[in-house]
Amino acid sequence: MKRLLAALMLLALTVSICLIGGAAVSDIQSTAASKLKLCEENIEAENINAAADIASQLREYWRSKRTLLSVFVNHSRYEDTALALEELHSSLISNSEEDALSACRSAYHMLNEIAFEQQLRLDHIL
Amino acid sequence: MLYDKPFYGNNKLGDFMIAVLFRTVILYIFVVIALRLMGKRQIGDMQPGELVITLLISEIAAIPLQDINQPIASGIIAIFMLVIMEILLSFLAMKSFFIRKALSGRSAVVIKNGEIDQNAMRRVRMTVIDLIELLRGQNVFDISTVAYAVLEVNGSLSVLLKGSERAATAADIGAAPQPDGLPLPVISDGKFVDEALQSLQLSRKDIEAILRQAGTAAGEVFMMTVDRFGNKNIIIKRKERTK
Repeated sequence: MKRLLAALMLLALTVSICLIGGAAVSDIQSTAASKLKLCEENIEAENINAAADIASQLREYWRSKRTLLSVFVNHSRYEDTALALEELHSSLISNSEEDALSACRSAYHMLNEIAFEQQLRLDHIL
Repeated sequence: MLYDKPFYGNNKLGDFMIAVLFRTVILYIFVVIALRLMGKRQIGDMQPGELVITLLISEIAAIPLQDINQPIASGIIAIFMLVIMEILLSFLAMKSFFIRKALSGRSAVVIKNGEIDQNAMRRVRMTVIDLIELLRGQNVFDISTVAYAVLEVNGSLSVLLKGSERAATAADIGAAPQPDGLPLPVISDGKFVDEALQSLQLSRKDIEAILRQAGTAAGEVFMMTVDRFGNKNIIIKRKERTK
């Protein structure tokens, strides 16, 4: 009976970790995606300084979430996104709009990949 | 500017390998906890489901160990879910005969009154050679001496010999054997085992008195066992051999 209780408690803990982790990753992903969208809009409106500020904030935000994301997201996926954000920032500093837009889309694509992997879908279960 | 400082700060040489070390230690701890939750059983005593779960745990634990990009939590959660499922299913099996039968199968009587039940052998897909090997493992060399042989769910064979083949027991010969008491180790490698003393309701002084009578002391004893009837066995420490 003691073992059964331990198993039930562990089940509750495991399910909670999965749900809380999933929600946290989803929250981080959507925050990063909205900042990225804002950055892209600023680049298209040729507000490079504003875009660079947003890119810098986004880069720091992504770095600050490293530990949490490493628990729930494939590490290489995190690193690839971090590199794309770094590239975005450096492109904006060097006033290379084309490269910045490309980096922006690349980072956005990676963020979407993370969101897709987190989704509870039948094809993920199968 | 981009190249002024490393992306994630300066990494000392070997950080990656130390991370692998930590991952191994963490996974080891969680695997031990998982196996302890499953309970103590030797591989030979495991039900088919338990054996599969144990093998799966080792496989799953290996994935985050080999691939450092894989979050360690994915392995730990999978391991714990397997153990949780195993515990819940064994609890249900305890409560329901149907579930128990579905999960573990049933034992099969393969020999009845010295005769092999060929239908049962076909059902359990066992050859006569396998049966004879298992019988030999039980020190049975002649099938005709077997009253019943049961192939258990875990693959072991339980054998009941015919009455005429069984060794006579004390009850058979009408003898009154001495009552048995479980011998408990009260001294192990020169040190008192207080738990054993408590269950035997003895004190260290009682044991020391016994040892004095035997002409020795606790520090010189390798092992001493005592049962509840006072039967004792003392093994003295041997001095290390010098070359």
